[in-house]
Amino acid sequence: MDLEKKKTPGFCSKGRAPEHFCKSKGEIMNIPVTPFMWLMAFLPIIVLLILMLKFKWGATEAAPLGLMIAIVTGLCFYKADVRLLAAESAKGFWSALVILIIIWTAVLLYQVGNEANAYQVIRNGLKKFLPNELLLVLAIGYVFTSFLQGITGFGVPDAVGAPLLIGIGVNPLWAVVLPLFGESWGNTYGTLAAAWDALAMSAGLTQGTDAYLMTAFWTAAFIWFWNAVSGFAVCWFYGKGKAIKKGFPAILLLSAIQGGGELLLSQINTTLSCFVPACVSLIAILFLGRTRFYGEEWCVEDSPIMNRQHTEKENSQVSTDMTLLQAFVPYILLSVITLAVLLIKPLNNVLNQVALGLPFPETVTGYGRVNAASDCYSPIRPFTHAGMFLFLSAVIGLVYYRKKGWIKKGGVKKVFVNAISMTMPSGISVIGLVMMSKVMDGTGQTIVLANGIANVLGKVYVLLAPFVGLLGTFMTGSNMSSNILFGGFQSTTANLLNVNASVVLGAQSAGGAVGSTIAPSKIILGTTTANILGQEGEVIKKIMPITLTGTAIIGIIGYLLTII
Amino acid sequence: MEQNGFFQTKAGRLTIAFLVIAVAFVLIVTGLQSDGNGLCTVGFLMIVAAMLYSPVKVYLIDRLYRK
Repeated sequence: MDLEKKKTPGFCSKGRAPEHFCKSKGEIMNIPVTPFMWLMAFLPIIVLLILMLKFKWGATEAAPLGLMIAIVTGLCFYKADVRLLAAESAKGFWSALVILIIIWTAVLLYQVGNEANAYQVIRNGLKKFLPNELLLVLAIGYVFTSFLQGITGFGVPDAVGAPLLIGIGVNPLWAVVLPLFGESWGNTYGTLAAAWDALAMSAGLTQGTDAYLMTAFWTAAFIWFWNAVSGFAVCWFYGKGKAIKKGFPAILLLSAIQGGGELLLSQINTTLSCFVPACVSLIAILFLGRTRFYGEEWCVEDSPIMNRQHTEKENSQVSTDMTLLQAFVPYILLSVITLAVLLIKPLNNVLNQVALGLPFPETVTGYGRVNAASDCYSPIRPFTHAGMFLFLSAVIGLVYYRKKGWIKKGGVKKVFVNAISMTMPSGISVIGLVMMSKVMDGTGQTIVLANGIANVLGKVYVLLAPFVGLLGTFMTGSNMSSNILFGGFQSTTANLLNVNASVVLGAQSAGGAVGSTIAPSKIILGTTTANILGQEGEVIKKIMPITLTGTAIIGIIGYLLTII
Repeated sequence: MEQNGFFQTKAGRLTIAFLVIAVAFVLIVTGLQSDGNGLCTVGFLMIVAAMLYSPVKVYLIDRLYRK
């Protein structure tokens, strides 16, 4: 096996067809793509969904069962041995650690603000700037979460956004739902375009080529559509038609800045194409609050997502001399540290040199599905990892608040104890979900799932291309992982079917971004900080209709574009 | 005293499950490097047991206890 193949498992060579397509149709390696094998591969996902949606199980209980089904299927039907399953489980634990570090540090950051009563100050401060309650909800749930997605991503906007929304009187369940919509458009080009780079890598797109720019264009175009849908969804949840009417000009402007700005920048610099528009929209919404249309107090009295009694009760507890700027200190630190480390190239190069990874040997299933050996599997770069930025911001914020007297004696210990207590249940479910996706991928179940769909549907497959991206994000909790998992497959399928690959890849990544709204491992971040762990199924239920409709529309547009 | 209290809560027990998975991870990685299939199997079984703790406790043990 040559080095190229080792680096990009499943590929004949970079930019060419994935290895599984070198075999005859209807057979991946030697895995028979039969309805039974397809159903067995689909079983872990469908069981996970049914347990969470129908039986209202929390992800901490449902994810392990999904994992067990994937293991039994791998063992009994996909000819995997215990050594392969153990290796994939270990890879799953290692990959989950990357996410868990972010959860732990994001919750720590949240606990620092909570202990210092900073959220009440933010709530009251923003209320003064934005007397229009709808605009206030949009500012936190749609714009601020986008800003966080632009720099950190990995679920941080969900973990941080939920308590902020609860602080302004949003019901905890809705406080989890809104950030999931708000940040979703930033999933492909956010975190300084990590997911986009993954798509380009797995589909073999070379920077600057026509194919690269066209794919960037269609990806951004589909995402712009979803960005507008998300904005209107937040308005709809807040106050149905009345809120849509009031929020219409704001959403048009914000979506033009966010989605339109991203589309424009995707043709110039993909790295900053989410971050820059997200920052501009943050400034824009504060200006909107000064306009005549939004400058006066306005709210929908019977808004189903608000619990104003809770807000009034909380209001009476606030007695602090903290200013709005001081309340934002940990977040300002987070932005400054992240930008400094990621954008100052020499500093980034130095810090990036430290990488922790583990060697894994090659494993093969009885059907010949090869999981390539790796000398340094999925290395964690601790000094450029979002968890480090969050940890530093939390600790410096803690010291700052303690020095100012806003965190009392004994408060520091309380912050750490509460952070651990809050994160452990979500930790187990994240490990379960990531292990499940690794086991499915390593035993060949994932590729059977995707191939089965393509083989049966032919060109109509384009309709489902965004759903494949959505499925990838649902399983892995990451648009980036979805693009790594399915980018090559989508590109090759498009070429086999002789349809526009740029459109199909755009639909893949946009579907992945949309899918982040229903990814259990992301939802858990919100339910953890909102203190409603176990209600993940309820959250998915609220989101699912809009998510599936949005994805279907992207699929239809993609299909029409490929047949015209 | 306070530590005992924490490990009797759900979060505390899940912390123990997490630690078991972490130990199993070390066993598996060691087993994979030294071609020790026994270590891999033990590690894998530890992961299965730790992962199943929560659903078994919530939907089996607690329900039986209530009955």
